[in-house]
Amino acid sequence: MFGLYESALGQLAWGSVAMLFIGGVLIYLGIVRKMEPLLLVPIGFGIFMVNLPMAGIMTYTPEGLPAIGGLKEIAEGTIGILNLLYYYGLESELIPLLIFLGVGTLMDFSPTIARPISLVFGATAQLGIFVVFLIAYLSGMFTINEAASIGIIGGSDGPPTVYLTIALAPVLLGPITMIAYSYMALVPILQPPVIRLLTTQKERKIFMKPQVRKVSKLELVLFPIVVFIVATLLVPKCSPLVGMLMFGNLLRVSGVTDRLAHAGSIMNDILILLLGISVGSLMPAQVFFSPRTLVIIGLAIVAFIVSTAGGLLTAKLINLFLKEKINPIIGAAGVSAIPMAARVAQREGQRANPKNYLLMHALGPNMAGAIGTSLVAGIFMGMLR
Amino acid sequence: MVDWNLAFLISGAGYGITILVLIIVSMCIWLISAVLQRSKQGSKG
Repeated sequence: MFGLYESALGQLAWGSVAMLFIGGVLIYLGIVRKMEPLLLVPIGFGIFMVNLPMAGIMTYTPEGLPAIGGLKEIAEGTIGILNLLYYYGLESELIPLLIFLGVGTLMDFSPTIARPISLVFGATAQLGIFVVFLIAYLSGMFTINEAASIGIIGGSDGPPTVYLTIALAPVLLGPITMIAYSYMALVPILQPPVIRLLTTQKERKIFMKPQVRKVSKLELVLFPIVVFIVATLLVPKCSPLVGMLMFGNLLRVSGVTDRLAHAGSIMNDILILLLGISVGSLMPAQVFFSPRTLVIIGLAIVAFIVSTAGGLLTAKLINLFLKEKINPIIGAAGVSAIPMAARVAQREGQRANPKNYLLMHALGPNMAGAIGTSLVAGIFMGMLR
Repeated sequence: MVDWNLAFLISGAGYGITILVLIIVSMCIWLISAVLQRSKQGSKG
């Protein structure tokens, strides 16, 4: 009657209403609090799209995975438009890899090249990934593949997290991606207490000269090439991620491919839009409201804290052998979360010693963290897939 | 069935490989930078 004979109101379950609330919270955090708005707003609206009954924008198999099909199935109404986006964009791994290419066009590795030891902080700050992998798997609640996907949240890097989860635990892609991006926005809240707990006031006061060495253009051009070749020779499965990141960066630094680098950064905006809406649509109530999701939320905090501690403690260890000490706070920036982790290091350093200007020093480990997380994703892929 | 040995092997080896690979990369970068800086100084001198 009056066109309402197919109303979905009667089919609105409590789980769906709760998910609509969560979607609303994400949109609020994005728009009002400015927390990762480019991702949280599309994710929030994607949650709306998939949790309104009978909308049919995304359909699921009984196992909780998105139904797969093509244009014929869309015409028949058995799948929705977001199923296509999931299938061609996420399941093919295309979107996370192309986003990483775009990220590469935006990254300046000068601070990492100027102080190559930054790469060690970028490696040791991956500790949280492996600790949480162990906890998740040994808890018996998750398979070994799911545990790896949960652990990688500790790397604080979106594309490797999405890439690995699609390959190893696609059923958890929605919750893991949402939790990973939400926590990345919370780095300024999560890291400072760990930094203050694990360093003394004297250590935080350590002064570092504001300028890092000026890096030549040849070094900038050689960096992505060397990193890609060495990383791929030693961990072949990391080559898609590291390759895209380094290719994007080469476009940026070559000096003759500015137009391509610009295209990469524009493409990134489009891809992040598609990623956000696809990830949001992977969170129907039946997938999200499970005890496992709550456990993942808790484990992700542990992963961030342990990763921060891993970078910090390495910096303290290295200081034992250095004449000119480094401020250990920059080790905490080894978790990628670019550039929030570097900004946290800058703020904490300046709080302890107003003369300190750690941003450029912290950006080195920060950039290295992105390479570190890509390596870890490749290692897990090699061992578990 | 949780396989404790496998879990510790993956996490230990995984973390170790990550550190080792990035130490190798950092040494390569340091070496290249040192050579380039030396050749630059040499050409100035």
